[in-house]
Amino acid sequence: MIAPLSSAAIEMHDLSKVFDRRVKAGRFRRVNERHEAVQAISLTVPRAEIVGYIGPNGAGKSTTIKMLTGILQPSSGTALVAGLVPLEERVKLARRIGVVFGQRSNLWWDLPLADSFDLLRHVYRVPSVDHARTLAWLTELFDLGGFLASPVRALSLGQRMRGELTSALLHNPEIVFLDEPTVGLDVVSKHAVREALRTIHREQGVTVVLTTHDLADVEELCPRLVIIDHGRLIHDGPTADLKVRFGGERTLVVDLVEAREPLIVAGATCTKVDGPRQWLQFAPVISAASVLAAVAGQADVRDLTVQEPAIEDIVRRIYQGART
Amino acid sequence: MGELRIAGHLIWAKIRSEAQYPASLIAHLIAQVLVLGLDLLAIWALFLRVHALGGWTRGQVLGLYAISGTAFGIGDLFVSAVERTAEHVRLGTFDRFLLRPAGTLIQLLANEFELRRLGRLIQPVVVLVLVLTSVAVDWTPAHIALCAAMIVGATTMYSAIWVSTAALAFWIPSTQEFANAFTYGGQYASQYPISIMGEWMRRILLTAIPLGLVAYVPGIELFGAANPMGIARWMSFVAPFAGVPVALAAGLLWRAGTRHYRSTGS
Ligand SMILES: Nc1ncnc2c1ncn2[C@@H]1O[C@H](COP(=O)(O)OP(=O)(O)OP(=O)(O)O)[C@@H](O)[C@H]1O
Ligand SMILES: [Mg+2]
Repeated sequence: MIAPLSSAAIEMHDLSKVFDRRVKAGRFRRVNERHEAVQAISLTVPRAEIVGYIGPNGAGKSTTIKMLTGILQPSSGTALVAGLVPLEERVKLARRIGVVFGQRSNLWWDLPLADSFDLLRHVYRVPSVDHARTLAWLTELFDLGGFLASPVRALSLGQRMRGELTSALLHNPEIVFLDEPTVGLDVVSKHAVREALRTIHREQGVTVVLTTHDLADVEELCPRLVIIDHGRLIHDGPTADLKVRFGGERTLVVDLVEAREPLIVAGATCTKVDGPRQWLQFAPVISAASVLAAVAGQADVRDLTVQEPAIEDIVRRIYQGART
Repeated sequence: MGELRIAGHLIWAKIRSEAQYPASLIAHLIAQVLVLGLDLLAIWALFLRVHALGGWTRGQVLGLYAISGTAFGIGDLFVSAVERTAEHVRLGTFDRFLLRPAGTLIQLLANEFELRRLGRLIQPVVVLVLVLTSVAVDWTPAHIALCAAMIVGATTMYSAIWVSTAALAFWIPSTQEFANAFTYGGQYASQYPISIMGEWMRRILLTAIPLGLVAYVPGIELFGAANPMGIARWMSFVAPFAGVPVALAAGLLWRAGTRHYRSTGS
């Protein structure tokens, strides 16, 4: 929008954050402990991309976002967001980014939702015509009409979260940071939020960095997935490649004509038997057809299904792998 | 200017939400006026026993009290809310001020504005009007300017001390009591002629926490009051500006503090 399109929306170079913590050492003594929350992360996010930024609890996701949005001073390394150095050019940057921390509120607790939006219009100095247009659009998109007049403290979590998202988008930011925007929402609300984000991305071409513990958010929204753990980057690539790269065992579920003892098939292991139904797990390099052929040689098969590994399982294994 | 407009909108929103409970607001205002009335009673009782305090007459002491009190009241209304910094730092809610395109201090002050603090201002202003019209002040243009400079200077000084002590919360989370000792304690000290105090206290009020400079020293000239410490006359006109460097230092400290802010983990 303002900067040339060729420059990236976000550039991080060896970005690090160290927290000094006072920890108990013995009954009365306390010592300072250095905790490296983010360790030398380098990452580039092109304009108009949606990136899922995930990792287990305490991985350093929120800390990274705080350094990119001008809340925290990095301990070392550099970051450029919309071509600006976050904390140095905080006020300029604030106009061009939108931020939602799902665990925090950006709204005025005692005021009607509409009043919060009006205050933000003044804070961001958005001309009232533009504001009215954006607000009308977002009100429809997030279906806010029913509770615009209610004080924020009276809203349900799902309603408030839609309000938070609206508040972060009202000034038409180029880059949006969403830290757990779906936390605590039910299936229907989550779906509504994802749909709205997809529409906003399509129509406005915003860059989105999304942090979440719900991998369905990532699968539905983010073509690119970045995984960090212990402050380090451990994966960066297309979400679709995750299954290929990290494999993940598939499972052939067969319904036999008669119940029998667990089948013995080369390259596969029987993980479960339930009457005539058996579960055979096999590595990604082995084809389902060869497993099926081996089964058919030993028993009569009535029906079968192949289960793909869930993204949850893959990510869980990545997290566990990084821990050991 | 733009920042002040933003602050105006935020303050107006706070007033509207506070006005939803008018009874509480009024009760609070009345209580503050009554509590501050005790101050007056104390000064009055004092002058039943003595004729002068550090060479100052009752009217002159009341004048000093009213100017200092008015400045403190204005600072209390608009700036004392800065003491909430500690809470925002501890809870991590300071994040939101950093995320918005406006100064963090002005946002915090506007967000924490409470109309009920007006109570501290009502009584000193009334006393000020009464005293300044009855005490023999020679109302030359220079003295009118000096009187205004005293109020602005003292307000600046109080505000700067408030901001500086509150900014310490970015490094040490629980500094509230320490901060109160400077502000509320300082206010009591600057209501009276500092010549009645011990040597070390006088020194502090003229240098380290220079509240004496913005009230007592110019007061000598304004009220034509006794000057047992023999302070030069030009000092009376320069002293009200002592708040300016203190305010600049406070601004720098605040800025350094926001860079030191570390938010919270969740
Ligand atoms: N203000 C702080 N002071 C001290 N340590 C902190 C602070 N903020 C974060 N940490 C530590 O830094 C590490 C990373 O925290 P961060 O909040 O970035 O994790 P996260 O990836 O967002 O986790 P979650 O998924 O639980 O939100 C954690 O070990 C946390 O304890
Ligand atoms: Mg987090």
